[in-house]
Amino acid sequence: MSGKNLLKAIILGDSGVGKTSLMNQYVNKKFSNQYKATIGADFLTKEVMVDDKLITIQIWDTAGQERFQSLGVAFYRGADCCMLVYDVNNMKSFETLDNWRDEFLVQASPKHPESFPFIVLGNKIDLEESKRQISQKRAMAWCQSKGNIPYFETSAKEAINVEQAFQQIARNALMQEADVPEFNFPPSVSLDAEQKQDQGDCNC
Amino acid sequence: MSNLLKENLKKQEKDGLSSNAGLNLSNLVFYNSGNATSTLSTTSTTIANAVVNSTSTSNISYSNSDTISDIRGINERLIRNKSNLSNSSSSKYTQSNKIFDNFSLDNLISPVENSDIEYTSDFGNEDNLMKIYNSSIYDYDEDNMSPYNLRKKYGNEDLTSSNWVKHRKHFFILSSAGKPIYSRYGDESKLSSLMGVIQAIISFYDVDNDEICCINTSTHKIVFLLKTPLYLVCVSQTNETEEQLKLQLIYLYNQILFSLTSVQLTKIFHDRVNFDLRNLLSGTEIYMDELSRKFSIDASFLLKAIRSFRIKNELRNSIGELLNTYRPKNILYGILTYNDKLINIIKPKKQNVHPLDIHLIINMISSTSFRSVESWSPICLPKYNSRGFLYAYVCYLNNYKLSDTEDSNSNTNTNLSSESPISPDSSKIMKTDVCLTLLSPDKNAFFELSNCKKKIEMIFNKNDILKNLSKIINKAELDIADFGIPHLRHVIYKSTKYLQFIETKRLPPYDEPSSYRRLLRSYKFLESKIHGYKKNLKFCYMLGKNELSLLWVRDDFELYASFSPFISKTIAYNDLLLIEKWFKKQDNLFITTSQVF
Repeated sequence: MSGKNLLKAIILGDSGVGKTSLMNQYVNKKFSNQYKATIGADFLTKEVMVDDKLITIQIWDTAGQERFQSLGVAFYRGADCCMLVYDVNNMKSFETLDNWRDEFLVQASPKHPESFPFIVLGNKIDLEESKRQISQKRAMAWCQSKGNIPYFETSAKEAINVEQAFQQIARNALMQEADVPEFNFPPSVSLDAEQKQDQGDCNC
Repeated sequence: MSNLLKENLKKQEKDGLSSNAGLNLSNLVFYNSGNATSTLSTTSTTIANAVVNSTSTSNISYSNSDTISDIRGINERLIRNKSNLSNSSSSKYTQSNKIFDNFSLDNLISPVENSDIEYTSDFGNEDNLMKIYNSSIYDYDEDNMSPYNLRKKYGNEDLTSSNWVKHRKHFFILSSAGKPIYSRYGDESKLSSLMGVIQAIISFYDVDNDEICCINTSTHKIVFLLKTPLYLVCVSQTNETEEQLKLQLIYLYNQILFSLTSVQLTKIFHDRVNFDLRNLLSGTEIYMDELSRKFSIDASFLLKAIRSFRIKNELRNSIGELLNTYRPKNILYGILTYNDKLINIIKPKKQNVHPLDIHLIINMISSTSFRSVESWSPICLPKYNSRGFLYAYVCYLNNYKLSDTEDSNSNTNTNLSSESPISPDSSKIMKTDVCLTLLSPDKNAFFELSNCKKKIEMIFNKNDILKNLSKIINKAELDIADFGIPHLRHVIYKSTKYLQFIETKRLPPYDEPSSYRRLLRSYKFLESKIHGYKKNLKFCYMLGKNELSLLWVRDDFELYASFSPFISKTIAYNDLLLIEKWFKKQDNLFITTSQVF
């Protein structure tokens, strides 16, 4: 597809896994150790070159807390891709990935759910190995079982794999974009048909 | 930006609001339609210090005691002004700069029981308006810039540009997925975070099956028009009313239908809710830019009427007859315009013409360089039929100058002609500003319509129509001198029956775009008073530093006039009667009997 390109990317995952930090690292190249819960959603825009094309990524960083889930439908509507984030040191955040993915597919109801561009990020790999609860192998097995979702191990703090992950999801989303629906030129007006008369017509 | 959303979402936390991107969101007024009870509870718990106004009921709850005292102050002022009309330039009423903020409340003018209400408003608010003007560095030079240059100048701004927030009126269009489609200023992809915020605010109310209509702050008004799959938003510091801004959003929405049709728009987003509509609309931004600009400098959009070309009935009718005689078989309308004025129109017997459709057509003609070519484009007239395309043939007519020796003729021709002769060989052919537009349902009709245009052009020349038109071009605009009233400065006369209007020439001070904008603003203010008032209000006037403007509304006409600010209200009133009498005597103002087939 030529011309302008804008991708809507949603970041999902439990609260505290580092969604906002990943986005911040990617867009602003900054990291802060302080935790501040996202309320509702944060929005950031990033322009990126993918295969010689200038793409604008509109990133929707959603709140992980359950009390904001009612806004899900509105937020997920028309998303081009979705990043599922978990904390490699937090078993629960990995186990809920299933829920996040299902919830997204239900709410966003994309045309082809089986090929919708997801990506899974295991974040916080900068922490010491002893704290790690989910092995790379296990995470990759899960991704495999969900239709070969690409998997990245990241650290927002040390900027490991962040750039690559966003590049990958943008590329995958663009491949979906290639499947453009056909536009039928709408029919011409028939002059014979009775037209409804609007109020406020000119009497000239 | 997301702070704005966050604060909205903090139902329980009322610790005040942060200001963002130049929008001061303290002291908010929310207007909501839909479920009144849920609206009130939602918004009043969301916003500290809010005035909530639900359009579905007349309930108004005040949670801000300052506001109530303001209203009392204005009421007192109105009554005092009524008894002391000649001395209205009072500086002691310091609250007047809040007059616009609170005027929409229903009980404001109720103590005055007279049906022909007149009131002044001294220009504390003018100061306010001027302050707003001066804070905006861009507005003045816009009038002399082409849309292309405007876009070049402002096109790269984004949220971080200090100038971006200073624009007096922003328009945003986004898809219901929150993807940017159009922004009047700046690069819409760089504004996509803002579009996300807007989508989130709208969704917040949407979840409760409610609809956000308007946010009022002390400096800005944010108006929403939700036409799923599109959301349109205006952020304005122009003091226009919510209704006036909403109408402007409706125009922009119809401009999109004009290019796409409602069928195509619905289908695209039904098939793919994440569609990036910009690719389909590229090239039409110029129409939206031009509309956005004209809202402030063209009275057509305030009056919802067609600007008519003043011409003797005889000549107008013979033009209509010729058009009708030589028209192609299968057309909807044949339209003859001079710049932005309608000379005549031919149409099917049963079919009426909606001013909005004509405005969009005239906007298309005037926004692009059709001058030297014959143009053929699919367009949709939303009020006629939003579901299908028509094909518009647009071409300016040529004037074959037959006698070069006539001095008077060549003089007037220079007024009419916009270009020098197109080639040395055809020095007798002059392009004119008279433009013919033919609308056909047949996409293959171009050559038929083109031939038809040649015939019409020839017959017009044979009958000296274009020559006669060029002779009266100077008289086509109303001259203030015609009225013989020395302190009169400007008049607009609108026929409610024909939905057409005529305006006097813009003489000083209104040849200055900034003065003319101010005049239009005062007319807009009067219009909002007259039409916003429940009772049968007929007269409204406003005295400012620069002019005394009046509006007189009757069943069959609306008369706007502006006088020198130094004359009394009584004199202006009597003059208004004279002006009206003068208009009643004219028979050359409007298209009264158009040719039908």
